[in-house]
Amino acid sequence: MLIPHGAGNIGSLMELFHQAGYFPRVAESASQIDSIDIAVIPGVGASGSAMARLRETGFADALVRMNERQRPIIGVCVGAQVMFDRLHENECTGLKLLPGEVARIAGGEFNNGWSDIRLDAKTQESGAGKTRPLLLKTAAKTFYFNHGYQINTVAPMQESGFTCGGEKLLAYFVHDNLCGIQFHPEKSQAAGLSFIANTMKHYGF
Amino acid sequence: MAFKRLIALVPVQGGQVVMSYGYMRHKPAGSLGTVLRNLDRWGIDEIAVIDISRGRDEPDFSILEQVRLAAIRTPVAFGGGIRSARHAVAAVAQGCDRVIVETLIWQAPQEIACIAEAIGQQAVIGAAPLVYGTQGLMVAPVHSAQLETWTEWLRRVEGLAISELMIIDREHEGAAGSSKLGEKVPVAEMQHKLIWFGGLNANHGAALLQRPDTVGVAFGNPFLTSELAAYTHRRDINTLMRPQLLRKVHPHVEG
Repeated sequence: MLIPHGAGNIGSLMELFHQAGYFPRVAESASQIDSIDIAVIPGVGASGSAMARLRETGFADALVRMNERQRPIIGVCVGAQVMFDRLHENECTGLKLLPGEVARIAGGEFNNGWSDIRLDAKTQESGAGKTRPLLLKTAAKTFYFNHGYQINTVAPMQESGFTCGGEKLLAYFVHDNLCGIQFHPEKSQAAGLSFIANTMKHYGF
Repeated sequence: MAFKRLIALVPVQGGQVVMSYGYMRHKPAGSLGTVLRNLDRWGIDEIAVIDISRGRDEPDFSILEQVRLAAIRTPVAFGGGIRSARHAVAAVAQGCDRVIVETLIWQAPQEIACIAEAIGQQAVIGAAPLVYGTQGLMVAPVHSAQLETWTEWLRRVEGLAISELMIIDREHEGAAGSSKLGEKVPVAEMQHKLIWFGGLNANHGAALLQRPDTVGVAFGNPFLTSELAAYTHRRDINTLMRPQLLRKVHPHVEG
């Protein structure tokens, strides 16, 4: 189920899921979220207005309850950012599903355009284990980003990838039931479709 | 940081895609849906759909509907009639990822902050149609006969909540290889990174992309008329650059 937050490119994301063979619905009330198996918080938006809308609709509390039930939540771009404690874009608190903050990219830069993603060292090591990282299941490693804020977290993610050459900007992470995707799979052409299909399979769908 | 971008600029007039020549003459170039799907298949980095129909105070929602129905997986920036946060949110809801503002910079710059608050500053691009004449480099907006020097205009946009500027060579748009703006606009430590459009060819593209203030080059008519033009431009530009600044794309290949 897609969770609307006022802005958000729900149409593009819906189309991506259709192309991957899934047919999500858009949440209309918080009570619906209490009975779903997987939620997706879409991207494109500013974190302050997105959080305000999530709280106003009751979706924020419902997502926290969903996390307590350990049901998968996938966040895309701003949808991934709102999972954390503190959001500096509009100086507000996030859903606090994970420890960390979302701060302006150094130098006031924007990360707009297509970037390669590399796995962090720890994920690379575990890549030889029984769970193959999502990125390694995706043939292309170049994805479309469009953001001015970055996730800073010390949470020990089970899997994460970085962009911009080194371990500078968190590009995606998987931590138990939570998956945050800073890039836009819905606008990353074949690579994005492949990544989201693998993510859904990872969670058993 | 990210690869630099090869952008397709798709002018729309009266709901139909047109090839544009110097902002004055236009020739029909097919339906928006078909053009978007082609560019998507050819692996373009970003598509800028610009409604050039005059006198609009709101976006043409039928064009946005066509963007949504095209269901493409390439980022889309939309310009034309964006006057408020409500318009920007509507564009994003219909499958656009960014909005392009030009008139708003002159008429209601305070509204740009509201747009950024709704969809994020990263999703806002400012446009500057430029001419170069006896008075030097001037910004010549489409909606009026007003002219402003490039330096004055940069002061106008300083601090506005936009992430990138699209520089449009107004006089040479539609005449590939004729633009000289790249030589006239000084490389500067600007707040906003630049996208160039109008009168470019692959040589221009390669030269501009090597500027530190530039993140993308946009082509219009060539990408509307020739199948795989996007692919050949990318190949030609990458051939001229070391290191290659554009991502590699293999059209028609799923991966």
